[in-house]
Amino acid sequence: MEDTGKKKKGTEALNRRDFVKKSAIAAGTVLAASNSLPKIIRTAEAAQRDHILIGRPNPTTGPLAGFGEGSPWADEIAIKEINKNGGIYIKKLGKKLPIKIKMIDTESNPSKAGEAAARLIVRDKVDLMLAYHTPDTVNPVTAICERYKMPSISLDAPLEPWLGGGPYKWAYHAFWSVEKDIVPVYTGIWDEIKTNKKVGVLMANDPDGVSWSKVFKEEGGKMGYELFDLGRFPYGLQDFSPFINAWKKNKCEILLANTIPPDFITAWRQCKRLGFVPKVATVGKALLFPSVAKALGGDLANGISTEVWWSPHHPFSSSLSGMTAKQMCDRWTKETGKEWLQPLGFKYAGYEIAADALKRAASLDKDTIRQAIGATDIKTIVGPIKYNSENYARTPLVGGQWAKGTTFPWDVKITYNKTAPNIPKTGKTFAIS
Amino acid sequence: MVRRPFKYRWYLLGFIFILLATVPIWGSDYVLLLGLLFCLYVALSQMWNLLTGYSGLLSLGQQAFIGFGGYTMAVTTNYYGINVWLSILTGGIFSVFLALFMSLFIFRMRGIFFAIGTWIFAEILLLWFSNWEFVKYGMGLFIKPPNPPSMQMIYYASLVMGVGSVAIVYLILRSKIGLGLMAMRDNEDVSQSMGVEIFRSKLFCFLVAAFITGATAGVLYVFQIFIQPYKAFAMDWTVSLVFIVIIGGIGTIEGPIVGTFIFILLNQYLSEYGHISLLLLGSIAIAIILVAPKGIMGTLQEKTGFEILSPRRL
Repeated sequence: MEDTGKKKKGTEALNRRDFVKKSAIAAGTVLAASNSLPKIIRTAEAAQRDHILIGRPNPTTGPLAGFGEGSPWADEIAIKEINKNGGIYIKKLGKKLPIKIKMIDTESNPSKAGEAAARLIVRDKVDLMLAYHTPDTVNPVTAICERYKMPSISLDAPLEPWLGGGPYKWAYHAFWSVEKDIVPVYTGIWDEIKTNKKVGVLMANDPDGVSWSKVFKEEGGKMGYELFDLGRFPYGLQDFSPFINAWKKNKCEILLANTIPPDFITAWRQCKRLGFVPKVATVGKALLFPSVAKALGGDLANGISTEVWWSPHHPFSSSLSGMTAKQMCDRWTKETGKEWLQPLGFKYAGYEIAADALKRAASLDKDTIRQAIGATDIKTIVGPIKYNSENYARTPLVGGQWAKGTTFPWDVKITYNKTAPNIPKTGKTFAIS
Repeated sequence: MVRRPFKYRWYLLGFIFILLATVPIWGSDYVLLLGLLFCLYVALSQMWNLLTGYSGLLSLGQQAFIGFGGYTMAVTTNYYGINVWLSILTGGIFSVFLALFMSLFIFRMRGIFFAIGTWIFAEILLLWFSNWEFVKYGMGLFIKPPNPPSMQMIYYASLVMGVGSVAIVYLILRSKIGLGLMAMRDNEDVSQSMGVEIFRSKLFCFLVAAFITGATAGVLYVFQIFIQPYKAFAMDWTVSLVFIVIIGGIGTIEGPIVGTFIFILLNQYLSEYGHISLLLLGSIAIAIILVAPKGIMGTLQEKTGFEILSPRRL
């Protein structure tokens, strides 16, 4: 560097010493100027508010797209109802503001979900975050909301993996627990069919798979079930024969799985090909949607059990319009021509919680909104929501089984309700043959 | 054509530095976020450029250091309650150990074999971390430092990494090692016979790159809060770095800076279009390779002699 300085004195306008001196002066000027600048660049908020903005990172594409499918349909009907009479009254402005949402695709990728949340907060300046659908979306989004002190309402992701990021101050969550809800529902379904109590385990290497397998190992053993677990497998695995052969060798009559939909399709087809037919198959996450049941092909979906967290038979109704779960599903089918989906109710319920909290807060101050969310106590379309001291609420869970449908090729029937007897049974558990 | 460093380069560089250093004062939170990503990607791509553009080490395994550095930081802060800045430094140091270990194997390979070797190491680490109970398998870790830093602190850490990486590359290239490196890149055998210590120079660069990449990843994950093996050790990282360096200009110091600027801006605007964004990024890369094979800065240098940070001393 010094060489250049000497050799090029003629051509170069500046040597290092000069540079240091001049840049110091420049730095001083910039610093001085920047003290007045921020007012110009940073303002433009608050003063001219004409709507309340809710951030919505959504897995529209990627392996979780099945969860995102009900958007923006469910979002739009909820927003329409909230905005019907002008929206939410804000005391400070003395007027009602309508709600708007900004949706960004997370591509089912947890890193992208975190970045999307950060962008919604700092660029779009949302007032509130609403996040749904599996730990891959909810966990990174709520973590970013905690960092930026952004009130966040999340649903539809099991409690245990979410609680790993706590204690939370700004994020509130509602869904069921693996230990307290999934285990009783799944073992309840297993108990309804006579088996040798040997369980083959197929769990993906993701937050759900890791937490489920851990809980089932502890609880299932106590209940007299023997678990055959070869370990977690990565997304996109193409060959499940080592798993299947081990289950066959040990004569497993029950299959316990938690995978993303595409992986279960591959695995279950290979089970059929290799002649592994368990009497009971309880499959978490993958078999929630009719589209996946159909994609399995043939009669492969028949008799597979899954968790049911929402259905048209749930005896709950909207706090916004009084619409029942059944009415909502019928409307979905009428307007889209598709069969009802479990996430529909939860998508809608997020707005119920948001609207209720915003109404009580009557303010756009983040901390006031946060406290209002914390004090939530309402009956939504997915059941009653009241957060506890760890910022979560449990929603009811029952068990269902896929069977041939009447209007659509496959229907999930509610076959196990001992965990929530207020939700009626619509079918009886049968063994897969 | 006689290349001559840009006359007002020190003004320009000083201006950019001051602009970046004062972002927390003048910029909105959004500008701060963009500045943060810019600095981090400059540091990461500058290191890939040092390896591939100057040392002839085609690395496809930068994600090994990103994941390893990130996880070291996460584990030391979460499990041992170590100060977050110290743990970022630890992440860098552990990456150097990893690089030393890797070099035992891959430094016996050349060219494309070296590239595959680095990639395999990254894949091994991915498998290891995703099946390791200590780091909770594929569930990932929430990074909860005992003293959570503010966004401004994280930004300044990233600024140190970004500016530091540029300065280090500049200093290396202006040194004796740099001269040897460029000779080596042009013709390895001849330079060896001329007395360039090939193994030592390559190893030196490999270790420097490992340190900066690992520490930068630490800052990145302090910002992201959530680390998960499938994303931390993903090939996507190296793909992004290749994109940045290729469009910016491989084998130039300014290239990665210009490339990162374009990459960050494109990402911000394209991310709302989902999958199309990847198509567009790909098309842009192809177009630039066809029109300007040496990247934006490389072609600019060749055509006009415009150069800001010259590794040459004449």
